[in-house]
Amino acid sequence: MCLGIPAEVLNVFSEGDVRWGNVSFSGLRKNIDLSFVPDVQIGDFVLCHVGIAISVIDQAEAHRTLETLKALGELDPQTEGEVGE
Amino acid sequence: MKFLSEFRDPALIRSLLLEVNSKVTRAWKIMEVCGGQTHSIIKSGIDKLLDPRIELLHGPGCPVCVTPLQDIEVAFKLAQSKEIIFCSYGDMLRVPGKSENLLMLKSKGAKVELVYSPLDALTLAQNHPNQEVVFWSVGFETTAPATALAVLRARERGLNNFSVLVSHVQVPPAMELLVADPASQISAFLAAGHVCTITGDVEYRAFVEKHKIPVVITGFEPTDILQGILSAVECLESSKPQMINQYTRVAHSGGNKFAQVAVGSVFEVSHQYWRGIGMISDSGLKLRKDFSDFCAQKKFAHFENKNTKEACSELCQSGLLMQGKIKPPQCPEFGKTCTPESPLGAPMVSTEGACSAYFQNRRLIQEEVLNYV
Repeated sequence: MCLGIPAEVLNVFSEGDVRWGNVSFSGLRKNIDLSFVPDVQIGDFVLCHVGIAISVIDQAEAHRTLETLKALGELDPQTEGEVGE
Repeated sequence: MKFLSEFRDPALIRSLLLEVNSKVTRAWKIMEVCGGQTHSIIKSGIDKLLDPRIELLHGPGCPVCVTPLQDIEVAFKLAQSKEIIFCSYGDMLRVPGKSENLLMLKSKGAKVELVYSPLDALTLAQNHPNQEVVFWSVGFETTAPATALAVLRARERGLNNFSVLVSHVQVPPAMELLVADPASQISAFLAAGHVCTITGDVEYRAFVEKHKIPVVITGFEPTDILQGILSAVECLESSKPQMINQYTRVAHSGGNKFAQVAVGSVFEVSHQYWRGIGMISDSGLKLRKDFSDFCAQKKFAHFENKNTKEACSELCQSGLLMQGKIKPPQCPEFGKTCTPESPLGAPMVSTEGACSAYFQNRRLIQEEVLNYV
């Protein structure tokens, strides 16, 4: 029920007062309500939940997390030797 | 897929497993709150790859599983009314009531529709002005804003044939209940990242301050979960309980203010019965008086059955399961009398149910923990 899926915003349009985004889930296109992410722009990635974008994905944070994880991998040989000490 | 596959990288998973396992010196029980996290853990086998001193407990984060039987019985009555188109998410249509589920009612001619979003239910109401459309809104804090948006929009558009049967629940009161149990063995929590995307972290900071139990806001991919476990283990091993946000790419400290305003304007906090667990104070949501025109419970009050005895099948041990006290293979009915085709309880049919996670991934017996790393 809390499933959220990242999608790229390909287009933004309005119907009356409602702002919609045409988004791509790896190629699958769908219109998503953007009411809760009013600052979103074309090219941003949003987290979609039950037809509504609930967050704009912070790409810098995503890269930072991945860099942290990659750095762990580079330390592997040392840490492996210390296991159980 | 961008922002998904990178966080499933086997090399990163292996590094994280090594890092976590190298930090463990004592036994810890870490509860993942959200059923989506449970599914990710069981699917990826993380629980088997961790140092055996780390046990992952599966928490109450399956809103479908905790929806009370009384609401289910009301839903069934509404769905059988000729004047009503009854709609909800796919999981809810499969939840067993006393003997049937909503899909079975649909096969007998009831007007039951599966919708992806509450906004789709709104469209149904617009397209069927001579029918009543009732949307069964279920879910945690993540899902409530979409329901609120649908109700606000129904009012703006003057749609008086749209109403909602509200069965929303909130996470922090359930966490409070779990740690209040003198028998609780929970060392740390992985909080549900998408709940916190809406609410922010304020309540979780207060929780850590009050109980001195680490809480790590965690995402749903395997590296997210392992990074969450790593942070929890570091807190536990250093005896420094903290609130840590692992899921910084999506969940921000203040949450989503726009969603919070929508929820606050439409809903107020209420006591809520959790199926298999019991009444939890201030753990639910109900429509504010101002929005009572959209309340299906009030609009169709004659359908309410106050005499429904609160129990799922006596054989289903969902209460113990949702509190992390047992794992699915410990239930004598699991995989035998209880399967997705003939479930005894909601945890076997919900996409967030622990029994469903174990069954789908062929974890049919309680296995010895293996350490592959």
